[in-house]
Amino acid sequence: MIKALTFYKYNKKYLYLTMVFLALLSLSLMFQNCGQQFSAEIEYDHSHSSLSDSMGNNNPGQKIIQQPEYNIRLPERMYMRNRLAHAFLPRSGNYTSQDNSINNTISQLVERNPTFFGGSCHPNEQGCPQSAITTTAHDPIPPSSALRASLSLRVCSEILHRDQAIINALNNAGLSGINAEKNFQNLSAVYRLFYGERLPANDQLDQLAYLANITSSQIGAGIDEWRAILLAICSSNSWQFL
Amino acid sequence: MSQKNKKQLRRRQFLALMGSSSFFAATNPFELFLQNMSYGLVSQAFAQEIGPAPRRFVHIHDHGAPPRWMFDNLLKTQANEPFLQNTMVKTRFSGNANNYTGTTYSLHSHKGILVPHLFSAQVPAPGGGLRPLADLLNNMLVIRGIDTGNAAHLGSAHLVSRPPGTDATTGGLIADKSHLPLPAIGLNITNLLNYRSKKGVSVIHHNTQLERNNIATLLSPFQENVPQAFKAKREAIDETLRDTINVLDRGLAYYADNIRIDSNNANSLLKNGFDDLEANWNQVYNKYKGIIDSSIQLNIPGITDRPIGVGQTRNNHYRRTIATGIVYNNDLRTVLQGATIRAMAENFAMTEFLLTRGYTQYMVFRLRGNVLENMNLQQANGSMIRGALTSDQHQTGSMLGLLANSIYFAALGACLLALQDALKNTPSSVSATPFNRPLTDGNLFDQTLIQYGAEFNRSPRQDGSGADHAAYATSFSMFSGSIEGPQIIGNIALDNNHSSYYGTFGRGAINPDMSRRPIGLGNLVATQAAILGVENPSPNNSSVVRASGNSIASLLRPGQIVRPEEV
Repeated sequence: MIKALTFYKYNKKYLYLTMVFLALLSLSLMFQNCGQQFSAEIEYDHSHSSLSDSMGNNNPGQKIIQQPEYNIRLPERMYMRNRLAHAFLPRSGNYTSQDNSINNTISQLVERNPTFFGGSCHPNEQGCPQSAITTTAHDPIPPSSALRASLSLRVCSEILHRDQAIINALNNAGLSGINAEKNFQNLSAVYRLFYGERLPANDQLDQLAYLANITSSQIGAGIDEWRAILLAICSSNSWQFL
Repeated sequence: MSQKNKKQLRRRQFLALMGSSSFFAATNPFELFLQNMSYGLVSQAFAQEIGPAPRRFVHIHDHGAPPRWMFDNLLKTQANEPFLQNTMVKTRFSGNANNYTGTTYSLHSHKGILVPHLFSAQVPAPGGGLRPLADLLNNMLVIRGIDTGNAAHLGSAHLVSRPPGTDATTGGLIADKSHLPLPAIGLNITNLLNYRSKKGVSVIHHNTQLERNNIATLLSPFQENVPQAFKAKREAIDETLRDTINVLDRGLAYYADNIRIDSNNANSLLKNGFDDLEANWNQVYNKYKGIIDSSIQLNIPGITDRPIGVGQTRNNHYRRTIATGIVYNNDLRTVLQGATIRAMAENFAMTEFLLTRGYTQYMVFRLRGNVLENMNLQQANGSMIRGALTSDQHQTGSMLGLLANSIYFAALGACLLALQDALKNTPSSVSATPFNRPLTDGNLFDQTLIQYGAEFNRSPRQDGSGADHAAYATSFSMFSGSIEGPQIIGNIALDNNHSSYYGTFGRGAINPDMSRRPIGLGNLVATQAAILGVENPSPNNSSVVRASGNSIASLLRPGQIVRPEEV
């Protein structure tokens, strides 16, 4: 210790360097990622993240609910409308009666539901609707709710039971029609109707191809394979995360 | 040794010192202190996340604030307590063997506690027959003597649900922890409710005039419109389809659990449908409608078992409102002929339907602001009109007020008992979808808190002509299977020291167990939080009960009437 003190007495610059070093060390301790350090002790309840896992798999002994505290927000109605129209309506804007039905479905379930999907009313929007049932989701970027989730699932089903929606989607993805091969390139193009520039992982493409196979064996080949693929992509939640 | 070598040596010495100091720093008490501090903070943060599943919460807001001293505004609860009589604060009629001509403050003893006379009555039970209203007391806890600090209806209603100094509401906090498909629902209460969730979980407002088909409106977003052939195809590949969606959502951040829960809940409800919705709804609705209709015709000793006011001079004691003046029915009981109570059946039916089927965690509804509607009213010229008696009874005299309010509270009490029956017959783990964790063992009534109250109570006019706003005398009743009642929490003052509002009617007084303070709204929400099992949204205030497992007990000595010299 005496040796060290003597050293610093005659080497002031090392004394300053030492002080800076200790200060940085202290600061780093204060800002360390403690959450990571103790992550092994936290058990998030993820059982509900998979439907098949959750069905009938309640553990009666488990009486603890753990949820992280984050305030997740989702895109508003006009983003949702535009994304669905981008996928399922002709880019030319020349709509058939079938296209009009698809457009009306998007409008009724999403665009005209600002109380569930958020987004303010525009000054010249004719009769901006207020539903008999509303949520606190009046803000531009609304929170999640089961009602919104239900309408999000419904709009996919209520569009995709029409063959025209599938034909439009495949055209918009640049594919040659319902007989287009379900290869990675084509599946990726359909995926990007919703996910934009994000690319799917290989196992996600594998799963989409598997879904097409199951559909082929359970229902039949052809348009229903693409219907199932588009239904899965449209019903997934991640594309709503910008 | 050259100068250069000396420098190199010194540099090596320096590095060696740094190395040793690093070792020292990693094990010294300062570092341990920092580690413990960090660990403590992190542990505390996660401790707030980890706890028993919250109870469900039914919040009944009786907007307009009817006088409640004939029902759950418990004042004199022990025989030896002092009590100063006010002309308005009466609980039953008095008179002779043939006719009631006046009013009196009469009490009924239940488990050693004195309660208003109405609790000696029998009220309609589901499916016919009568039951003691006093059954309500067995699971009842009253918190009284609260000052909301705001004598305006709207302002006080907002404060009651979210007092100053809170960062969330108890309803929002339990919705945050809920896995049920509709975590928070408000019926006709949009403008009155302060609701705040920390996670941004929505309260779903149903704002139409409540009608018989309101459950269909509420659940309509879960009813899809697709051809049966499409449904059959989707069903054939359902498992693979859901697996594919999960694989696509695999990249969803772990903190987006709410979205997964909502999506899975929605999918489950869409898939199962509501084929029996109308039949089930009608069954529940008709039960409450029957109870309420029977309550209006009820023969209650001391209230409706004899003619009221026959041959008596009509004065302000018989007044309904100042606008339409005095009621001239020869027998006051005839005002009840054809009278109705608006929306009470719909509100209770919605609550029972949604709770017992596991749809919702937090249900808040507003009673409609009128005690009775379509009353049969005789005017001074002898003509008959139909009219309502508002809950906001500034100008309602003691005679008409006692009659109409007693009938209203008999109906309300009967509905509360019927709701409690339904909750008792439901397991606490009930869920409309399979994503809700079991709560605790036992029935749903044990795991539910029902709170009844208004924005404030009323200050009675000594001349018997009505009652005004008493923000300083507010009380709430809480009901749960985990409460062994009756429990009375909070001291009240013997006298209001005001000539117009003379007597004992519930003004808050100091409590020796609370640093000589009256109970505040912060204590109310802290108490709700303790019972519900969520963090206290008002950290500067503490709960007045201890909630442990299936036991909810007061932390204060039983509430008393306090003399002026003690206030």
